[in-house]
Amino acid sequence: MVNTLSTSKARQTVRLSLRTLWSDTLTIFWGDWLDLRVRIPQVAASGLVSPLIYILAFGLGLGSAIDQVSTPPVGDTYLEFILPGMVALSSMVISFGGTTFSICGDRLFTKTFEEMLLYPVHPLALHLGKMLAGIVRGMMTAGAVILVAVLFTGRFWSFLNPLFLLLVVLNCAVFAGLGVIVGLNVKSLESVGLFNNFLIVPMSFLGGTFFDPSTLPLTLKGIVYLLPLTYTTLGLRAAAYKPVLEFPWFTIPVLVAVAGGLAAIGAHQFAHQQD
Amino acid sequence: MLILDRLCKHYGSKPVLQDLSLALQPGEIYGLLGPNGAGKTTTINIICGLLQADSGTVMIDGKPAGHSTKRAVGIVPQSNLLYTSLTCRDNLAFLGRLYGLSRQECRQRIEVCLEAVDLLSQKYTPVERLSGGMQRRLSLAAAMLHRPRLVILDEPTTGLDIEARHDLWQLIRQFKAMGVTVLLTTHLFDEVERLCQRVGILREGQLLAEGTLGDLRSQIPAHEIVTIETADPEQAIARARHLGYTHRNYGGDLAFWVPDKLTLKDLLDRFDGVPLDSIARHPVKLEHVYLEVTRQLGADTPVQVAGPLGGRG
Repeated sequence: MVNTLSTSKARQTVRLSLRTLWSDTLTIFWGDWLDLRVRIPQVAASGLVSPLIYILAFGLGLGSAIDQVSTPPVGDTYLEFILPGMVALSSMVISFGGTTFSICGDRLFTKTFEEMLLYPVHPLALHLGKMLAGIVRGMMTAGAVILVAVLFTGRFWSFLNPLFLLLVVLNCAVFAGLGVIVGLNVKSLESVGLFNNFLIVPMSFLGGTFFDPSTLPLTLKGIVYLLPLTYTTLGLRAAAYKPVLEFPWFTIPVLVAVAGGLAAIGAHQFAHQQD
Repeated sequence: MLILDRLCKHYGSKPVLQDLSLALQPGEIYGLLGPNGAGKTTTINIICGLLQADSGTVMIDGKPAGHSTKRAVGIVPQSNLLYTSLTCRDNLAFLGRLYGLSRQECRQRIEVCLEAVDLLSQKYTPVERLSGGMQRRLSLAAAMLHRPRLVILDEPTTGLDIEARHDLWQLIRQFKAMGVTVLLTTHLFDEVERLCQRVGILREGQLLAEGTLGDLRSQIPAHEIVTIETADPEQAIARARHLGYTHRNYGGDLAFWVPDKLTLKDLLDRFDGVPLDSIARHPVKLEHVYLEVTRQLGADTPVQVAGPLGGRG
């Protein structure tokens, strides 16, 4: 009887803690959203520039030449082949960059970050709240690229099915989580540029956006499959053009694990942050 | 309400706090006075959990400082930690939610706190459009929003004009009226003399003296302090020695501690024969005590703060 009571009390405490964690996460997100809501077109548009250039240069320019000599493994044209990767790439760039710059701004310029550390909220809620804001930033841009993709291909359901959207959300979660960690650690904005040049730009070109990773030599394949963007691109391509039975389900747990791992690191860093 | 017990902190090999101990009684305004680099902000950061002390403990309301005590504390840091693009209302609403206020309670508290700092009319104004004084007042409102029992003010009036400073002092007095304990750090002596019941003098991470204003002033055995301008300071000092007055140099002013209550005529008689250009009389102020206490530290002699002051850290 006593055991049952204590178990039920423990369950209640866990439930309450999770509810508080979720509510604090939403509040941290809401704080960012208050700032973000007035810049929605700016965020969506800024993330659209690179994908549009890639679509024009690689998809239409290079793609028309490639389409004459070969057929892409997925999708009818090379443009269709790269579009899911474009969604992954643009959401990665914005969720990473937006989150990093937001935290850097709070830490290095407005100094409001210090206030954040004073809040009576769990460090994990701080990480998740910031990550959620990064996901929303990434989704805004992804939404704009999806719109372009639908306009170019006329394939509405290819880009707006639940599996496709789930993968975009997970991709944003991974890179927003990475953005939080980078934002917490850099000493100046120049350092953000370094992370961008050594992490994000290589990932943009090696993450399977412009090629099929399965055709690569083994060593290169090993490198490409170390990058989380590769899993997003593979998953998005399959979610857009392949039947559900051929979907590479392993991509989802990989992305969830990476996002979870980054959340654990981020929460640890928030808990030990001393600005 | 707040107890610091033998706090030590080093930045690298440099000691920033050295066995700092102090205790704040509920409802008092305690002034922590010290020059830049004395360790005031480090002390606050440790109390707030932004920094970890190397050793020593912090107790807030009977509990070790940590996550559970954060709700009991309101903080006004040196720089305004406000989201400048957001309105006053949005800033407070965000904070209120983080401190666990319900939607309705948050709405009520925003009205009450904005009214208290006379910013109700600016409720929907973005913070970036407020003056420096208004932003500071909003910071106070933010610190009070969740009804903390301890409010920490880190140099709250630095950089403000005199009117804004007076407004802020008025608000800080209201804290006391509400029964809130206040820890005020500053390097402004008049601020401490106007607001604080007790004062601690911190320098190089050590609490050199502590007590009420009266206790601290009594450390200088003088009824008043007389400063003179003279072409012959040596003669003036010799006369002061003969009279048994202690002499000091306060920023280039030659000053004497005069223990008796004298009329101006008596005073001039005592310096008869000394070529005086001017003479001025001053009450013993906290800055004199401060200079005395820190002078003794500079001379590397042990500071003996007797009786009720007793707070050598």
